[in-house]
Amino acid sequence: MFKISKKPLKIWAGLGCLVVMAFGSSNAQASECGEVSLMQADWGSAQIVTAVAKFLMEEGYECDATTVPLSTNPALASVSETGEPDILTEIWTNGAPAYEELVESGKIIPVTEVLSDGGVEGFFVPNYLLEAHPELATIEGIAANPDLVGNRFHNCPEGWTCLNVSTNLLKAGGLIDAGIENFVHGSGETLAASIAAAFENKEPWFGFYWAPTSVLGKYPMTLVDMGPHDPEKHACNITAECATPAMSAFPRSVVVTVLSKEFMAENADVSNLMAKLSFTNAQMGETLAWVEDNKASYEEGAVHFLTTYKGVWGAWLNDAARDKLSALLQ
Amino acid sequence: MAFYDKIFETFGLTAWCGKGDESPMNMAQLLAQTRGEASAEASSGIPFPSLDNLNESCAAIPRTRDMTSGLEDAFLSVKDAMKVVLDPVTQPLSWALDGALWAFLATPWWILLPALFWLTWYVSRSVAVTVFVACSFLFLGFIDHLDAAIQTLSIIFVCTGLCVLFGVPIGILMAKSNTLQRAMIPLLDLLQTLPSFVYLIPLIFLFSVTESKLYGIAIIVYAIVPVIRLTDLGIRLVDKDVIEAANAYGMNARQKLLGVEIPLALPNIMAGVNQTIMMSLAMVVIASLVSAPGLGVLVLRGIRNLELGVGLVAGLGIVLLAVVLDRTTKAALARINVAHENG
Amino acid sequence: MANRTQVSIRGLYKIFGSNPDAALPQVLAGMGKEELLQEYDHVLGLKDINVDMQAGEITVVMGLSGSGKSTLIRHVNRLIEPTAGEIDIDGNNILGLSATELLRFRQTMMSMVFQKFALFPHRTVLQNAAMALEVRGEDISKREAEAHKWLERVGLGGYQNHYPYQLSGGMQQRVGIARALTSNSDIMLMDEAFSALDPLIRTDMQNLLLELQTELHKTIIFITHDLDEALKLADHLVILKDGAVVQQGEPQDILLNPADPYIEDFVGDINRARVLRVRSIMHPGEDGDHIAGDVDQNATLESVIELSAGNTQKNYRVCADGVPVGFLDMKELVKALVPARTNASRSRAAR
Repeated sequence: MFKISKKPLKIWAGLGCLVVMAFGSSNAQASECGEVSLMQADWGSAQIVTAVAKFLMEEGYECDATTVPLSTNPALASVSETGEPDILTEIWTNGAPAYEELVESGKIIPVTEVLSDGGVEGFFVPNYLLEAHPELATIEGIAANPDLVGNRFHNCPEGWTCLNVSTNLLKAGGLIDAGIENFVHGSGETLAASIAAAFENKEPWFGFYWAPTSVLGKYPMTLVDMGPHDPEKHACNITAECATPAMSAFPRSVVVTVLSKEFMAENADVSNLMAKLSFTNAQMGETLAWVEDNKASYEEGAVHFLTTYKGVWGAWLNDAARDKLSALLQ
Repeated sequence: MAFYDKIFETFGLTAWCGKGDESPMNMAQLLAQTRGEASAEASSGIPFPSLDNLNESCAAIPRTRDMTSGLEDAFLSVKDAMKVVLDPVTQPLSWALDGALWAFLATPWWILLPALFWLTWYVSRSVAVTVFVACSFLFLGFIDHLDAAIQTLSIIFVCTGLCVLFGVPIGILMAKSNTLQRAMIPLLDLLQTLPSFVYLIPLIFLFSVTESKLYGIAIIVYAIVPVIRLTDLGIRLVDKDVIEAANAYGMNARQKLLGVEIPLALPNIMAGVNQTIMMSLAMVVIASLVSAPGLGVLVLRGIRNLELGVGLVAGLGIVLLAVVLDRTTKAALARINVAHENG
Repeated sequence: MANRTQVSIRGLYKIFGSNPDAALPQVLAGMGKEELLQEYDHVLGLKDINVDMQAGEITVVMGLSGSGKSTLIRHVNRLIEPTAGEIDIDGNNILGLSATELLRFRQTMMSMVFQKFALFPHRTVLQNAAMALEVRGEDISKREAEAHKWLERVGLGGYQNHYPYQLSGGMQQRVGIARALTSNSDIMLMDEAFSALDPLIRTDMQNLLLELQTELHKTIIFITHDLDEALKLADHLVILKDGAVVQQGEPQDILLNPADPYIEDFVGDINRARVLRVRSIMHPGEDGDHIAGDVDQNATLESVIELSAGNTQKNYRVCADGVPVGFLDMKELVKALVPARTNASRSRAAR
């Protein structure tokens, strides 16, 4: 029971007002765009996409952009429950069971394929191995020569959709019968590290991976021919209990940018930007390779893209934004 | 253009600095260019004289990324030599883990579980603890987590066994030598705090990731620390008067160690063993990140698929195992302590 | 008593610190404790100790805290190593023993009883008592039989399977003594063995020790800070102060002829009538007049005063086992009741 003296209270109140005004004024500048939250996943291509998008939003559209580190499934869960983050920059739809439902419910709206060539998923062997043993280019060749690939398949970790698909494909292709060990990695990091280790030691390697990634940019590998993609067979392969696993290549992975329903309604300018923002595999691959060669950070990689591909991203902007970024676009 | 240019010019080092490769443009520079600001650094005051900042003025100074890639190259150049030494030394660990996993899973549950219950009784001589252990395992079996739990248990047994086998002698040596203790303490601090993945990923280059010794090393390196520390402490804390009596009657070092020091240090050593077991269990999920089987795999599946229930139940299974092992070792400890009451 | 010197300590110095050898020359040249501490940050533990201990006797080393008595006793079994000096036991220089020889020496020649008992808490009373034989490698039935015998002798017959924590202080120290006796060593070191016990128990233990000694005739080196205990037990008394010997000799002798004011003060408060014996003040081999009767040479002065009922005219013939050995003058007895003073303290008292 102490008296709060009035005088300090006035001072605090005054300070509080100033603080609010200060924030308010910075918002006033960006009031056309406002606050935008972007998902930032931890793999290479997603980092590049997010960094480029953030730069363009802030410099061209005067947004107040924040990035939120999230991976695919938590991001989808978050946007479906809370509507945040506003923009999910790189969703690999093959690995996201929740995706279809959310699109149908209208909570999220896919606006473009951010990797326009789509992602490539499948079984890979290192190029040096293939040069020494060309017969390993097809799945039949591998089944016939399991020793040449080290009698082991490096499979995805528990919890990834590709685990079931790959396991079923191994059964279908007779690889399990040929004596190839289906080794399930504990994490994506050890999967990547096993590739690096194999290249270091020039050892055989055979397993699942996907492009465009820094790993495939640094360690050249070739997709094993598994024949054409068959949607029905693939639908069965996705489930662990598939009774009739059958050979079917992985489908081209659709990789999309997705906006929350609310954001799409509120912010037409940035929505349009995201609808146009898209990379070819060549562009993304070159950028990721550049990052590797220069030991750069992904942010520097984004800078590289912005300075190298001005014509490409210039076309994504509206006129007002192009004006603001004129200094850079020369 | 960069802040430190003047300094290098004053010292006449411009020639030595040379004109190296331009480092990649960073975001700050891009923003400056976009906004047409005179200099990116003008607004930021004095930049810290870091390697990257100095490199802007003087190309001969390596950037931090050159240092990190230098470390990587150094590792890659010694790894073959390291492999020759480390591979055979750690091979028994792989055999022990694979053997234990095979043995535990090959034994049918109606032999294995009673054997475990009997072992609990033998060690703890406590009805309450044995009943609790029995109920826990039966419950885990009932919810179809028995195989995973048994896999985790076998890994913990092997790893903890090795931790004690190596940790107690190291602790004894530390207790006998102040120099060794001073040298070991920072190393032990490092082992407990260095993130496992930092050394596990390089180890993948040495051993294949499919080797069980990878997760064995992950667990042992982290969990061996308490038993070492507490053995050292326990032996140092043995009553000096009792040691003096042992010396006065002509006990040699071996007689003292086995007859006096270890028995009297046993309460502390057992506390160390208990903590080692707890820390092994704490590492279960990280071990699964490097391909250890067991409950950790279920936890990871739950996390990755956002199946909260799966993760929670598997996690609680780990907790249950921890409580089971904790109660059992504490009961064993209490039996040892009976003889040591000092009224 | 058979008299041969069993333990001979010559010129013993002990300096505690990081570099005692460097400080030694200063001490040899005469530097004192305070100066050494201030200038060299070293502690002078023992200074020029010269003591001979006879076989079969109880030698008591007495002093206040910090006098160096615990340090001294630990030199005899080399639990502490000297900075300078010699220690000979049975003519052998024990400072020259190798590590293995030293262990053997401790196992066979030495035993020790400690102030805080130092029993092994994780072993039974029987195992504790048998410890010395176990270290020596004797087989279990032999050593347990021996330990059993000595436990009975010290009065702990039924307690073999108890653990130390279950026994009282006095009983634990009996185990300590049994342990020392079981080792059957010639030399027994007792470091304030009774100081932690309550007075009545302490008296019992002192009597037990004297009783055992009449049978066993061990060479006992006993440390205490209690003068009464020292006077009761000692055949030879060594008084230490600040690491140096102030006076040593037969206790009666020290009482009658204190060497300096420190000793005077030390012995000042004791009941001289009860402690002094007739043999210390008699005229040996002589005869005299007014003989009122016979007294034993080991009788206390108090008993003679009682006998004479305070009459100083009565003199007595002194006998040992019935054989006349001397003449006791009553006046000298009365004089002996008053502490003698050195010149220094006489002038002090005169002020």
